[in-house]
Amino acid sequence: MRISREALILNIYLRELKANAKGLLLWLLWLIVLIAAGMGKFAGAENSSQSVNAIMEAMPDVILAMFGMNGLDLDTIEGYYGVISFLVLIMAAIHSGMLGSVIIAKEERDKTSEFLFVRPVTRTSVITSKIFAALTNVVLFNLLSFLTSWIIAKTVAKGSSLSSIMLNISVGMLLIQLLFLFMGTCLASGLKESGKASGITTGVVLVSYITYIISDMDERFRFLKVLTPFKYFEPASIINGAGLETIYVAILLILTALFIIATYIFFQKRDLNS
Amino acid sequence: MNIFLHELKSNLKSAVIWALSMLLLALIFILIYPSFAQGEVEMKNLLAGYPPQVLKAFGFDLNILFSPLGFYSLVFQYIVLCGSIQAMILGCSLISKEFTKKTADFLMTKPVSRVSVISAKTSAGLSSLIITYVLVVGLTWVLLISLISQPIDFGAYMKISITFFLIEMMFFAIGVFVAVTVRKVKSVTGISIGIVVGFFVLGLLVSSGIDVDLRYLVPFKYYDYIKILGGNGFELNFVIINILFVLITISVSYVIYIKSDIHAA
Repeated sequence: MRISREALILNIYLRELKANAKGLLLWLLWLIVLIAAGMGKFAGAENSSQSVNAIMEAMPDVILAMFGMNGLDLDTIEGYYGVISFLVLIMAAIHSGMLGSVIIAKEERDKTSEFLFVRPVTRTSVITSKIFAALTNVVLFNLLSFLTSWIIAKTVAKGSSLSSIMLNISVGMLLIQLLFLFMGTCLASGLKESGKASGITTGVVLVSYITYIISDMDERFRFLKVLTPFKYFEPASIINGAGLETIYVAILLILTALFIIATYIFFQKRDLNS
Repeated sequence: MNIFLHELKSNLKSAVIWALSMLLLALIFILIYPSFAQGEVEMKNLLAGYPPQVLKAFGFDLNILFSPLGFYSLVFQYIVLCGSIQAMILGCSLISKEFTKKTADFLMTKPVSRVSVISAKTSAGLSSLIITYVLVVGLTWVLLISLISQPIDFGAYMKISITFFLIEMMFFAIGVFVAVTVRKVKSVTGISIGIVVGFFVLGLLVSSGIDVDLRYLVPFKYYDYIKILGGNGFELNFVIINILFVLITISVSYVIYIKSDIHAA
């Protein structure tokens, strides 16, 4: 019996989803615990004492930057959400970067690429179905973090209107997730040793994070901020009304598009070692 | 001894690269110190109306906070973050490499016991870690005293630096444990960065005051540097948890490794 091409593509997609299900579940569980542990602690302005507020206000920028509290007011639910969503963002970037690299690299690692490529599918359609599976994971991560935060915010701070802030922050997070996802697929397709891609991508995430902190600490290092996507959609500036800046959205979309194109080209030309 | 030397040699280059990256980070932070120190007067003025007890209760002493080591102890957490990632990678990669590269069965045909294989590998990993550690701690001290004109207490610096090693050991142990339980670790670097940064992020919830109870779960928050610099010493319960955690995790990993079946490719 002949299996149609479409069915095979769908098969690869479903197989990838299944292969990643356990990992995704662990990530989502961790995500919910993080958001619940953080936002669940919100008690409102009336609970914090005057002296603590005064000390927080006098705190130097360096320290606030390190705590992820620069420009955020922990007396408000927005401030809480700002701190937590940035932590979620770092983890989301690591998750998507690893996912993108591993989903491409694992065929060679598990020596299944030969098997996969004797099937009547083109390399392009294999990549496409893998990318769709990865996208599904990334979007689920994003949606769940949005929903969990939204539900907890509604419970602990009744009547607050966080929705538009949350939407903006989530869109910004999705753009950053996509950037690292496709950086991962691009490296895994392009590097001779595709197994190294996830280490490099997560390393880039880490360096971006530390660059972000340094650019926040000292005027002289502020110029570094263009180099780190974490600075593009800072929760603090979105909460303080800045929205998503078009220029940064454009930069991320262009970079992501380049990574996607490069992924297809590299994978097409790749010698599949096994 | 052969396994030990083989592993040490293959890791030496990366140990030096790790040290250089952490030293670069330390250098940048030390260059930031002067502008941080300028904030002292402003903060003292803003808080002039508050009695010192209130500040103490809040957990810091401004004189310590703005001193070179006070600042260093704050930014030091990013160096500890990098060191912990290195530690977990070292703990994890040496053993899991045998499983992924299918050499475990090869190694087992050699006339060495499993105990000596895992011991050789962990001590090689540990040696690389110590090489990086000594380079970072030693050369950062040189950077501190040559770039900052104020006197810096070497004893206090060493106290802070010892916690670095204690925390690294926890992640080293976690790495060994992950390697013997998961075995075919898909991407050692990726998973190590994921887990260590995960703990770091929880630590940020502790330091921003959002969830202080999490402190026991986060190795990065075991040592309160401002208190250590203030002469209060270490909090003994955390030192004990730290050391016990390392010993138990490593012992359990040994048992799992020795009892595990090694499958041929």
